[in-house]
Amino acid sequence: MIQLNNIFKWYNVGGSRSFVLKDINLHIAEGEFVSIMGPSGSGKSTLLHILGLLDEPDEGEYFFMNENVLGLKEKQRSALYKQHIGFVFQAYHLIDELTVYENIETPLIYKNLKSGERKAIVGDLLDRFGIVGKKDLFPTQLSGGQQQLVGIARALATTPKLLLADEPTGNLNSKQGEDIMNLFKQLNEEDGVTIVQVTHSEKNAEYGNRIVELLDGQVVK
Amino acid sequence: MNLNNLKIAWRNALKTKLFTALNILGLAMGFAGFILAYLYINRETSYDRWNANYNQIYLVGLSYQGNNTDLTPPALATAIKATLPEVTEVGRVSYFPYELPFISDDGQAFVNDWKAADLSIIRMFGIEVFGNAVHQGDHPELNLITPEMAQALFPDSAGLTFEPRLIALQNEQSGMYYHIHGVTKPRKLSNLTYDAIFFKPDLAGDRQGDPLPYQTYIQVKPGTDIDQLDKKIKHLYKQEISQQHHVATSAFAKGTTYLDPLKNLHLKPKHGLNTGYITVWALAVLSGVILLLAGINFANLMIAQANRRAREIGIKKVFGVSRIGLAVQFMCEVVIQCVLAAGIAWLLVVLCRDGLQQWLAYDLAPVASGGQQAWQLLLAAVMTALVSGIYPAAILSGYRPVSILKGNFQTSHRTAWFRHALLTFQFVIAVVFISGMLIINRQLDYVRDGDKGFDPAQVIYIKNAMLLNNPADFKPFRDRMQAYPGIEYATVATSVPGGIGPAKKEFVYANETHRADHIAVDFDYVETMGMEVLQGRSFTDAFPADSAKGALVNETLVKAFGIQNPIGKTIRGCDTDFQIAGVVKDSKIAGFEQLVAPTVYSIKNPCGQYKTEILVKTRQGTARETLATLGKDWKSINRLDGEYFRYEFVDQKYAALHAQQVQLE
Repeated sequence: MIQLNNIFKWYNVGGSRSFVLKDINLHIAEGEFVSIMGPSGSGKSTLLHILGLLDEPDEGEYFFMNENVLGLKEKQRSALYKQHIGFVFQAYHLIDELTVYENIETPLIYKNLKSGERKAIVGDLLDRFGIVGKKDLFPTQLSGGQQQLVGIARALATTPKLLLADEPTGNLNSKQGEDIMNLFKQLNEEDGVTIVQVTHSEKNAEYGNRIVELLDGQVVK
Repeated sequence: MNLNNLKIAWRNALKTKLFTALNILGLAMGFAGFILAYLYINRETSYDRWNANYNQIYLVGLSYQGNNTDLTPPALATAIKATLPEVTEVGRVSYFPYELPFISDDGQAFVNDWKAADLSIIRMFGIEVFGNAVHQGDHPELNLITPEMAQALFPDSAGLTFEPRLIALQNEQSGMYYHIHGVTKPRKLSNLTYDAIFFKPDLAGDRQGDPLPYQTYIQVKPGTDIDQLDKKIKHLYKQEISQQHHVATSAFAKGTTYLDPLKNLHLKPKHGLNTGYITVWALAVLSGVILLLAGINFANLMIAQANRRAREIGIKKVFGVSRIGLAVQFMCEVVIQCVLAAGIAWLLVVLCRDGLQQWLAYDLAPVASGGQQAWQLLLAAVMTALVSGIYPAAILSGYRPVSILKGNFQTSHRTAWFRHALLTFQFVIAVVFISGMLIINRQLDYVRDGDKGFDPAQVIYIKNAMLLNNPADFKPFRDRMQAYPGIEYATVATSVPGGIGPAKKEFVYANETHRADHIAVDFDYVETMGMEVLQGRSFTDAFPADSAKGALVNETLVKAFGIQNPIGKTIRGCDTDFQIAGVVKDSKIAGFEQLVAPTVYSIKNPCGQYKTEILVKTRQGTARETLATLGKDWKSINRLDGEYFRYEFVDQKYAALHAQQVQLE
């Protein structure tokens, strides 16, 4: 599904290059649940952003579903997001002005689904994540764990093939974190969603079926 | 635009209630200013626009030594009609410069604006009459009045159509009797105004040599080459009209004609001031600048608030919303706010209509009716939205999602320079505005308190239609009036500040011809007007020569004519040799906008105007009682035209000359 070849990312500091990612080669097959680990500043997040097309490498090739995506125009890239990729963030990034229901519904609007279809999909997700009773609340009225549930529900609304999660449990307590991880595992196993998560925690990494370790911008394991 | 975007915008607005309210209210103020400015502009540009012949009508004016006049000899119209087939209609208009009472058996009306015109003017200027008096065509003459006049003149009359009714002019013994044939329907704004207008098939008759000037209007066939026509009329004038006996000796002979389209006559006539035109432009620019400022303010506040929206932008980009999509979303928000502000402004103006109407002294009725005004406002709202929304929309939609979503997003340093530039710009404009206001204020102060060269305070202008050309005619008036303890001086003249202007004539000094204004006056004119004599002396009956050939001239004349030691020198004009008895300070009787013309004052009145304008200087604090007693006795003082005592204060009449500038303030 994902093939990265010789990916480099650097910043120019003074006259010299400071590498964030150095010669990354990575293959992720459909249906995998990969955890990217490493100390702070090792380039985990940057790698995830490149995978999610939010950032571009300075050098290298990226094939997503056998398509070279680095040469794509913004419009085609947008189409890829809409169809295949869902994001979950450490800070949830829900829109404060929208209710739980509306937050989950938003990505569907941009997929040009009719309101009836949207209603069905959002209804299902609310049901599945057990947050039907919260649907008219605003994000600020929810606990962190609940907000992350909504974040995941929103990411899944468009039924993506790839779910990218940047420290999804970083702001949660261990109980909430466990719930989220179980949910990920379930999604991966039952729905066949490919998941790539960035995490600090060994425990969370164990939920996946493969660990990629980064150190100073290079894959060490 | 989807519903969730609206919800986001709305809830955002609710969260920052005060901020949003201030923002929209500020914008609404700008729009209110815009509405008021355009009300004025629409009104001023609407003169005669409703007339189907609007683009075909031209005034034939006369230009001589750089001065233009709207008056031409009457024979010009006849000649044009006879020789130029591309001219479909020709019409002449003349006016009576005095206020005159019209009297019927049942009532009376004071007619300020009494015109006479050729019958063709009815067709050219779209005058309609209640009933069908115009179309019967069997009237050799057709004397019409406005409904307001009809009401005052015939209060008993049931309707606006009647058999011709007899009226007297001036008073019942004057011997001037006319029939009124009908009442004209109310017209929209037009250059041709009247309280009463009397039509004749041929206004000037066949008196080819009629020396009195008329306004000559022509209506051309659509598509006529106006430059070509102008040449033809110039030629015609030179070859025929200027050779005619009465014209050949007057200043008219050396003039050339020009054509001035009807659409320019109200705002920038060639024969008058273009203050109106400049005011309209200034207001248009002003309202544009106000909106620009409001728009900039809006943009600034919006960018300052961007941090609140950053997460939304980042997330939407992750959902695959394109930059253009986001820009459109922000644009729409701005458009909605602008239209809302425009609506509030409209409401404000409509609600405050009565107050504003008084304050601005012009009719605000079109606001309530909408139409053109509404479209202009909508257009302005959308334009403002575009101007103020485009930058924020571009900036906001251009944020990179990675930096936003990483959580270390900062906007301020990126847009700071731009916002500072905007602020500076606003500040500069504000300073320009304020200094502009101060300048206008100082000018108005100058107009109010500046040196006019004469003192209109305590001077009363008494309306009169009796001719008092001879000092002997006025002497009984003066003697009677000066018997009142409240009256210091009384005089009569051909011209009054803010009223009838001086005669424009030619004077010869040392074999050189110059143009100068002439005002015929009576004794005590200089004293009544509070003018200052700089050299020589004022008129006095101690010198019999004063009545015959004495003249006072102003400083400008001395300079313009190049007269050394003016006292005792002779200047010739209006077939009279005037001997200069004194030099007076320049009087700005035509207002501060016009340069003071070289002016000759004389007691002898050979220049064709009539001494009718009675001026009285009252002692301070006595004006009211003096007027009351004078009003009671007026009939016995002015035996011929004393039926109605009507007066104006000269300082008010003079101030009216600057009403437009005061309005601008």
